[in-house]
Amino acid sequence: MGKFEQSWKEAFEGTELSPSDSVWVNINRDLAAAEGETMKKRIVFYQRIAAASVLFALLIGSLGIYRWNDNRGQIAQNKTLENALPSVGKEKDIVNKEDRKANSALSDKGNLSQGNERTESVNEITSPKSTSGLGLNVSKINSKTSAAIKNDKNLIKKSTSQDLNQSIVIGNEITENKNFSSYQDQNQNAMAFVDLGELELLPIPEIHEGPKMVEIIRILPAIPGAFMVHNEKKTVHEQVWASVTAAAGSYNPNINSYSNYSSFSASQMNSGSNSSSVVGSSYSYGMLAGVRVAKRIVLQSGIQYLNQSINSTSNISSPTSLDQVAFALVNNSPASSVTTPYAINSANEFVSVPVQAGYLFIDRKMGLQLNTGVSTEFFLRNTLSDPSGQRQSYSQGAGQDSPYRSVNFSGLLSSEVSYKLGDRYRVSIVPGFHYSFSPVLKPTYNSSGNPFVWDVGFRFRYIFR
Amino acid sequence: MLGEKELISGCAKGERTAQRVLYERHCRRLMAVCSRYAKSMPEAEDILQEGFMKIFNSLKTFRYESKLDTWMTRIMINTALNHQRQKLYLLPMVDVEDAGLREDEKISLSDFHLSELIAIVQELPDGCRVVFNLFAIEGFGHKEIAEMLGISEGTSKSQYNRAKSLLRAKLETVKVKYGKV
Repeated sequence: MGKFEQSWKEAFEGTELSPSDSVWVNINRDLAAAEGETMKKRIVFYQRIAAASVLFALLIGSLGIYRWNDNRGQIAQNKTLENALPSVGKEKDIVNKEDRKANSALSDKGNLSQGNERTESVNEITSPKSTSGLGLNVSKINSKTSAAIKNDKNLIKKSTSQDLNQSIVIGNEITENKNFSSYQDQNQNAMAFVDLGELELLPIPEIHEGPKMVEIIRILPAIPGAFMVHNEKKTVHEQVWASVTAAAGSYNPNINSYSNYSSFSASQMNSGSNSSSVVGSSYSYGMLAGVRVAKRIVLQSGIQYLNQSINSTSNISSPTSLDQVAFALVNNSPASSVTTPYAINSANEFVSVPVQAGYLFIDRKMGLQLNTGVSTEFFLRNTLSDPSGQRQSYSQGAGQDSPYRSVNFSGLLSSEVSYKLGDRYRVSIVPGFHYSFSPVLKPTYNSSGNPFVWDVGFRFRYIFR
Repeated sequence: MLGEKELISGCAKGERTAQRVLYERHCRRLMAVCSRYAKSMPEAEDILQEGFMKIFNSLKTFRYESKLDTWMTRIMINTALNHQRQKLYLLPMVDVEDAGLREDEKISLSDFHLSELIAIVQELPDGCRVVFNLFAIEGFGHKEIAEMLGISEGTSKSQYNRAKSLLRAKLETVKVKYGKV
């Protein structure tokens, strides 16, 4: 470095110049705007999550309702079929009655299980002369074969000729009932009423010199699903539980501009600070208790702390405390003097008592529940604060002299997607919507819209029984 | 009083009080830097404001690999360069040989007030001013300056020599004007 450069470097070394005050004011404003932008992004994220969850819940719910209705239709159809069957099979009733007689006759006489007659029968059965070759068919006997019961020797031969619905297979050779399909066609409806358990099978150990390996196959008729016995696994339903809950989301005071924070002299406001809609944040936490009042209906209630806040800027001159801002906010009156814009935060705090009814769409390890209800919100206080710490916070509580309503009512709508952990615990994600039925301020003060909240909650449930 | 680490931590968390303290500690030094690169004081304040926003947004990434002062100055210089970039048309003004300056020439600036010196620098053409600041005050080489500004090394040298020539002439003018000779 030459002497020229050295001279200049020395001349500027350690030098300082004071910038004007407006630099920090602008930086402060930009920082507040950037924070607002970050908050907006978070809020948009929460809104999207909540909307997606609600849509998902609705989709699952619709599917559940559709399937439920479908099952009801199927059951109704089966009942109709059941009612219709006896008339359709009147002719078959005679057959069935005779079948029963035949069965009882078989049983009473013991003709296939005792004495020589049985032996003869078995011999015939195992004889190559049998019409079915090596196979033996012991049938449920229809009216034709019932006559043959009286003639024991011919019993098996005749019974194997047709109308069989059971087969005994000896060895690896299966006796096919050639006429089965035609029988099935003829007696399709009646077969549903055949009590297969009543049939007596040939006592296999008595067979002499027969193959060692015996398999018994029952050819089952096509019984409609409605007649099958459902061994439905009994779910142990949760009856009483308590849960801790916390939620966060976006708070919309439902006003387009928080002009009340400014002194109504727009020329002195920084452009853009009050031009966009104000959206704040909300969080809540508390405890809930729930009880099942019907198979799919639950009731929940509890107590929660609710905080709804918004960030904004103000140019109302309030050098030490924010009382002037609070006054202008609630009275909708212009401030006497203005200053450079500064950031402020307004937070409303409530104690909320929600009462909700829930419908369980899915009540398994994974659960889906749609909740709706109302909450009574007891106003605690509104606090105006300056994030920079330059001004003292100002709080306004509830009461007769307060501009804020002491009690508010809100509508609640939420879906609850849950997962059961072990026998006693369940965790759930609860996207929800919360709409106040009235503004937070009393009607005589500054009017504003009804605020609402989109949030996503988390619940941890302990199941008592 | 907040220590440097606490201050950085607070700023990274977005605490306005910490940000204000950091600003108060460094704004005057950095304002002097910005004023050398700007054409005017309002422009210097714009650069300062933009630079501080970048500093607050980037403090989360500060790894203590350099001194905070150096890191902040570098951010401010980069902000100033970006601010000037649209205005910079760094064409070679004169040949290196034409500068007519002796390398070891020592000049006396002690008779000048800081505001006078800054005013003299601010009167330089944009390209000359930037190269002069980077070379003479910040100590970058012409090769580095060429890379930083996306120009050739020769252009950087030409701009610098032009700056030297202009500065000498302006210093002489001021001396005569205010009787500092």
